[in-house]
Amino acid sequence: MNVLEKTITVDVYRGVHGRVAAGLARIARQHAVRLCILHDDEEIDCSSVLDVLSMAFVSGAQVKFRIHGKGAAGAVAAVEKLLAQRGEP
Amino acid sequence: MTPAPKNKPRKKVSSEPRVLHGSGASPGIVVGRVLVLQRKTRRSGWYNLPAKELDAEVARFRNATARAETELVALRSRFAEDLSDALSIIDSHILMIRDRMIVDRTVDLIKARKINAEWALAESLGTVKKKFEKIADPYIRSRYADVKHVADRIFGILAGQEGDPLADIADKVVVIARDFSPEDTMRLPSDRILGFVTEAGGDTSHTAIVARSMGIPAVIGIREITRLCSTGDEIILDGFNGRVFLDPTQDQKKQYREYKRQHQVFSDDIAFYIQLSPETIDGHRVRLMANIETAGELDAVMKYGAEGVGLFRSEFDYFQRNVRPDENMLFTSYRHMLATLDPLPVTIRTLDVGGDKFVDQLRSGSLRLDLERNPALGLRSIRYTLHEQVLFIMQLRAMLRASVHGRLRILFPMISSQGEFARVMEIFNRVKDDLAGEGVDFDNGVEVGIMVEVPSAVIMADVLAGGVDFFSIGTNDMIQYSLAIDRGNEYVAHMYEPLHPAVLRMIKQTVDAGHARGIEVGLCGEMAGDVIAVPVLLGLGLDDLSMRPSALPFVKRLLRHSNSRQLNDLGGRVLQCSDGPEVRSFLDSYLPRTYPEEFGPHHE
Repeated sequence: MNVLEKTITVDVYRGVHGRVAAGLARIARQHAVRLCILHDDEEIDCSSVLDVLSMAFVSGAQVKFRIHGKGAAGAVAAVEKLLAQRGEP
Repeated sequence: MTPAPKNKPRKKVSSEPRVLHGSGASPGIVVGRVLVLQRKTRRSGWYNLPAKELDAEVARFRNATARAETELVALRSRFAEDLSDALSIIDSHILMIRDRMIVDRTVDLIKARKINAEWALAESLGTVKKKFEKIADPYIRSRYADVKHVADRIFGILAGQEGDPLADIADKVVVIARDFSPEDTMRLPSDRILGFVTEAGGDTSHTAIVARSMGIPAVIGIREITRLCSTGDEIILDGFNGRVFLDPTQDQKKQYREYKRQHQVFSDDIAFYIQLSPETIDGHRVRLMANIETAGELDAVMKYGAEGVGLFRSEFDYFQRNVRPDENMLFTSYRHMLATLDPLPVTIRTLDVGGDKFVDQLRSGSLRLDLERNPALGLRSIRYTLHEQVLFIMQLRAMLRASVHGRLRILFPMISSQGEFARVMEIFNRVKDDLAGEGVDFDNGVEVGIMVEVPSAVIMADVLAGGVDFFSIGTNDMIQYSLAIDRGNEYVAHMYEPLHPAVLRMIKQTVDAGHARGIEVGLCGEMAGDVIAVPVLLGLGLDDLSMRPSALPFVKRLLRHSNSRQLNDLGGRVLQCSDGPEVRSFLDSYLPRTYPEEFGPHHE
C-alpha cells in the first residue's frame, strides 16, 4: 500500500473553509485514497469536513498531508491544485 | 378443534375473532379500520429512553440524516452546473450531514447515554461549536453557521417524524398507539379519527380526559394492542365497556352497529332534559356546570344546558399556539367566555401545569422539571405559578380585567396549606392594587375559591373555608394523593377507585366544613360525570357538580328522578361501607331498584 507524505501551502484566499474542506473529501473519494492531515502529531482523516474545518488553516498555512492508497500520487496533485486556487481576491 | 394459539410477541397468527379488555376512557362505539402507530408518539424535548428502544432511536436518527441528504441532493439538482459556488456549498452541507463528528457521535451518544436523537444531536453540535469557537480566523469560525444550518435541517425532520403518520391519512381510522401525550392527543386531526386505543394509561389519564372532551371514543390500557393488530385491520371499539374486538364477525359488527343506533336514540331521548331545571322531585336544586378547556366548547356548554362553567382548564390557552400567550391574548379569551355566558358564572382555574401536564412550553431556562424524580409531588400547579410569578401575575391581570364582562370565579388549584393560600392572596391583592393604580376597571368582589384536592386541605378545610368564597373538590388528584395511586400507571391504575369510602368520606368532610362556614362546595373531577357515582355525590350534599358538557343531560335526568331524603340516606349508607367493592356491590342492586329507567336491564 502506497503512503505518501507532502507538505503543501494553502494559497486559498479565505483559508481552508467549507468548500475547500469539501474539495478535500471529494479528492479522497475520487482517488480512492485515505487522505489525512498530520496535525499536532495526530492523523486527521479529511473525510470529516468538520474536523478539517476545525483545524482552521488560514491562507499561507503549511499543511502536512499523509495519503494512503494506490491513487496517492494523483490525489497529491489534485490537493496541490485545490489549495493553490487563490480565488475571491 | 386445535387449541387457540398462544399470545406470542408476533403479529396475529389467526383471524379468529378476539375480545380484549381495557378500560373505557371515552364513551361511544366505533366499527372501523385501524392505523397503528408503532412508535410511541412523544413530547418534543429531551428525554431518556429504555434500552430496548435505542436501536429504533438510532434508526430514526439515521433516517432523518438520510432524508436530509436526499433533500439536499434534490436541491442540488435544481441548480445549473455553472453555479459552482452554490453547488459546492451544498456539497459541503451534504458532507456535514454525513460527517462522523455529527453522525457517529450522535449515534454513540444515543446508545451510551440512552437519550433521544434530538438530545444527542444537540450535544454533538455543542462539541462542534466548542471546537469552532477556538478558531482564531473569523471567516472559518463563522462557518459554524453552516453546521448549525445542517443540524437544524435534521432537527426539523426529526420533529416532523413525530406526528406525521397522521398527516397522510385520508380515511377515518381508529388510531392505535402505545401512548399519547396530552399534546399529541390535542394535535390529532379529530375529523379523521374515529377512536383511540392505547396500551398505557389509567382511566383519568389526561389522554382520556382530552379524548372525552373531543367526543372521540377511546379504550385504554390494552397491553400489546400495537402488536396484536396491524394497520388496515377492522375492529370494534366499545368505549362504554372498555372492549376491543379484533377481526369481528359479521354478526358482531351488525350487533354493534345496532348498539350504536340505540345509543343515539337514547341520547336523543335524554336531550329532552336539557330544558328542565336541575332539581330533585322535592325541589332540592343542585347546580350542574361544565368543565371545558377551550372557548370552542362554549357551544356545547349552552347546548347541554349547563348553568355556567365550573372548571375552565386555562392551560390549553398556553400550549395550543406556538407562542406563549401574553396578557392581552388571555384577556381577550377570558372576556369572550365571560361575555358569552353572562350572567352564568365562569370558573377559571389558574395555570395548573407540572406533573404530566404541558410543562415543556412554559419552562423557563433554569428550570429542569424533567429531572424531577416525583413530579406528582413536585413543582406543579399553584407551586409552579408561585415559583414563576411573572406567568401568574400576567394571568391574574388578564382575569381581573375580564371580570367586568361577566361573572368570574377564580379558582386556585392544589392549595395544601393556609400559608400557601396567604401567599396567593398576597399576590392577588397586589395585582388588584396595581390595576386600581393604573385606573383599570375590574370587579373588586370577584369570587375566589380553592380546589380541595390535597389530603391536607381536606383535613384543614374548616380553616381554609374561612378565607374563600367557595370550595371545588378536585377528585382526580384527591384520589391519586389519598390512595397513593399513579393514575397513569397501568399496573396500579385498577386500584384507582373513586368510590373508595376514604374518598367519599373526604368529600363529605369537605362539604361539611364548607357548609359550616356558609360557603358552597362543588366537585369538578371526572367523577362528577360518572353516572354510577353521581347519585352518591348528590347524597353527600354537594352544591354543584361540574362535568364534561355531554354528561350533563343524563346527570340532570338522574337528579330529577331523585328525592333528597333518599339521596341523604344513600350518602349515609355508602359512608359506612368498608371498601370500594362493597360500595360498588351495594350500588349494583341499589341503582337498578331506584332508577329502573336509567340502570335497568337495557344497561349491561
